[in-house]
Amino acid sequence: MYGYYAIKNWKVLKNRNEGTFRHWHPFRTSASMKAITNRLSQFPLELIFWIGSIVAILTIDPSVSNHFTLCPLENLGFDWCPGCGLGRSMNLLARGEFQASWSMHPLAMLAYVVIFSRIWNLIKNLKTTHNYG
Amino acid sequence: MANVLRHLPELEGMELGYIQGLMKNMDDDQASLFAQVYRARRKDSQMILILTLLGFFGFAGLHRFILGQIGLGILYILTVGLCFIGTIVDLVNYKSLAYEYNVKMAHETLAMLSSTMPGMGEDTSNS
Repeated sequence: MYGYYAIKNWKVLKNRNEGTFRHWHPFRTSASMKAITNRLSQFPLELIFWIGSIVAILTIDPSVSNHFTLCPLENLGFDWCPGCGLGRSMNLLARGEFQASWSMHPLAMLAYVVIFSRIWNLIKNLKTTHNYG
Repeated sequence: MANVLRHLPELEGMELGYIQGLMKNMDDDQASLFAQVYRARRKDSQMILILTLLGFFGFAGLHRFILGQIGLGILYILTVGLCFIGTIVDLVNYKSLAYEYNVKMAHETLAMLSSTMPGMGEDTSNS
């Protein structure tokens, strides 16, 4: 809507006199928008997501029988998927209960290794890829 | 000083600026060779987006495999994209995923070319 208005104004201004064209550029309005999208693209969303997921894993309580779940598959009524119990298993592993963790889901250690290596990579990338030139 | 738009016109945004920074010290011959090799290795961010969208149909984590993050790919497949949350985060984040991979590939390309062609890509270690 505003873009259309800007283009209409631009044509009027251009026809009237070329001098104002330099001062009133139609695309200047997008500069602030560009700054916002630039900052959004530099915001380390993925890093915060992984750290938040680790924190969420550490705060759940694995002993509750009818636990709260975000999983849409389970909320739809499926009672098994290959990742079922992975979060509880990771929590048990953090508490040091290896037997219970293994019987809940055997891949908890792999998940920890993968997520922490990803976090490490993202922190390393913060320094190298976000200031070029 | 080679112009990145002449050799790699399909780049945009942050990647454009980054590759321009790498091309600062190349002449046109070196830049066109670099562009050929780099174009073969880089991944388009649209392909990452499409592969991420496949996560909603049960094939989650294909983009992580394509980007060389095998462990995360396995984690995504087993948990259906971390219960779709990971898939949604990557949908928002697909451009920086592609950018990260492409920067890595650009440096690999540069290292490979500078080992075969002396004098190429000197003084780029600071970028």
